[in-house]
Amino acid sequence: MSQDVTDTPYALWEENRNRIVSRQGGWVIGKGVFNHGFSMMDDLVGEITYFQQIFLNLTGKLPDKRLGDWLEAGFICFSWPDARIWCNHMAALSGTSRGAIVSGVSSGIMAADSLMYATGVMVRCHDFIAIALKEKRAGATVEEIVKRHLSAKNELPGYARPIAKGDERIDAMQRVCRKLDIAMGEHEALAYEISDYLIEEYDECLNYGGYLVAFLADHGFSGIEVERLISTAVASGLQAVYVEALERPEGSFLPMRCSDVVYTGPEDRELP
Amino acid sequence: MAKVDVKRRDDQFSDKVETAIWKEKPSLSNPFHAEDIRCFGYDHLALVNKKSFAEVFFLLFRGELPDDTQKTLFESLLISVIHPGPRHVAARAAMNAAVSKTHVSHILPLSMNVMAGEWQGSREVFQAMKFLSRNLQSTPEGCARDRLSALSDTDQEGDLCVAPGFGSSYGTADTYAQKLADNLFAHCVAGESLQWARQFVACIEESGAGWRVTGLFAAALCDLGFTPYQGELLYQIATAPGIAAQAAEKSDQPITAMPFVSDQNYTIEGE
Repeated sequence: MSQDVTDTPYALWEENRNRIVSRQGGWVIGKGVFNHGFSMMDDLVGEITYFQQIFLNLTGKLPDKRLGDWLEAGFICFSWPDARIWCNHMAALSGTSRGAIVSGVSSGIMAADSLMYATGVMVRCHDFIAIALKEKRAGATVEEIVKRHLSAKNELPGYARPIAKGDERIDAMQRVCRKLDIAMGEHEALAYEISDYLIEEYDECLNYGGYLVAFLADHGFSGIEVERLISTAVASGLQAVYVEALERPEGSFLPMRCSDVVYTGPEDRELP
Repeated sequence: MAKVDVKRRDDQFSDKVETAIWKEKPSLSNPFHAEDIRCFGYDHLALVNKKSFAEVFFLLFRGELPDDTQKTLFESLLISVIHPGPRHVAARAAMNAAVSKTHVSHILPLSMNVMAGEWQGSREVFQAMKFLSRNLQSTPEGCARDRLSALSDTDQEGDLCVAPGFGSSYGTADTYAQKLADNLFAHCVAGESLQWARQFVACIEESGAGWRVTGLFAAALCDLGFTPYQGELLYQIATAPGIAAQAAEKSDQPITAMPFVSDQNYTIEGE
């Protein structure tokens, strides 16, 4: 006879032993693979794009194909074949040391979860533009919004970027929106207004992360949803630099002499 | 938005890497080879011959060799967490990957990813060290009272987390974490953080909370002078041996050696 555990402090975990309850779906062997009520092989494969499926799997909602196409273009903007970019550097180092491609790519995806750029900054970028829009609706000017946030946190998430000023990806994505006939929303419009003010006053402007969260906020997505949506966006750039490093002689990606490292520690000493 | 030309910033990047940890004297025959190596000033080969792994591990992060008291605590701590157990999510990830024939190179990286969580993972060590360093100046009793009071306003399903590293585990205080703590206090010299944490635990016990292994590890590392950033890294390294061993044990076993939830026990909501 099994013990009744419903009143124990560990009932929650007991109920879930050897048991999975999924709101996503799953494989019913012999019947099909189901995803949020869709039969994947019948309703989704060949009918929707991979990028629509990313939205479906992360949010439970199947978006318009145009939004999937927009995200696909957005992923291209994240994946540059330049091994100097920090996340790409991981993949190149993995390639030159003859690691497996999955090692290099997954290392780069993790590296891009950073407080400085890419995946790790999306929530902060979203929080800023969401609060800024509330303030604007309450009557604040762009100047007031910017000054208040700078004095409170000394940063404006979504504006300025490392290495360069300006961001060529925003122009490209605006072109994508025109092609897809996607109209600009309130968050995006405010993001541009703030950018114009910053250009005048601080010689800084909107960056790609700020653009992404503003656009997706206009389509009802939260910061954490944006972070999830773009969590693998750097993968293609990582693959590119990994393969290049792999195809060149081993160890030849930025090799370092001993003298390329400057020692700044204690003088030579004997063990106690 | 006004058109903005993309221009390079005038950042001054370092030409060379600087480190105070490791000195490599180049070989005369090949500048990419080292002739002699020193770690914080000590000859590497002398460390190899005369010092334990734990002592050199400590040296790498703290810049000095541990004294006898620190060495005892650090070694005891490392062995205390050397294996989170085969039921831990990271060990299960490693074993599932092993039986499903994942490339062995990926086993530790993927299981360390799983080890990195806020519940029973390395992130909890980071957060617990932050919690301890921020609250060490307050009384454990007052801190416990405030945190329990804040918790009483929430109705959260799952474990009770009074503070990172301190709470329930599967609904009650973790029995073995308490034993590990008792053992450390019995055999090592506890510093300010461990003492504070022990008093904090005493104040939260009535609510069904207690030590979590991560909280114990965090408190000891605070006393040993490590930062939260270092603490999170150390927890991953310290727990890796047990996880790796679990994977190695499963490496030549079939996929049927690990549970696979039956169709009857797999429920799709709404079906």
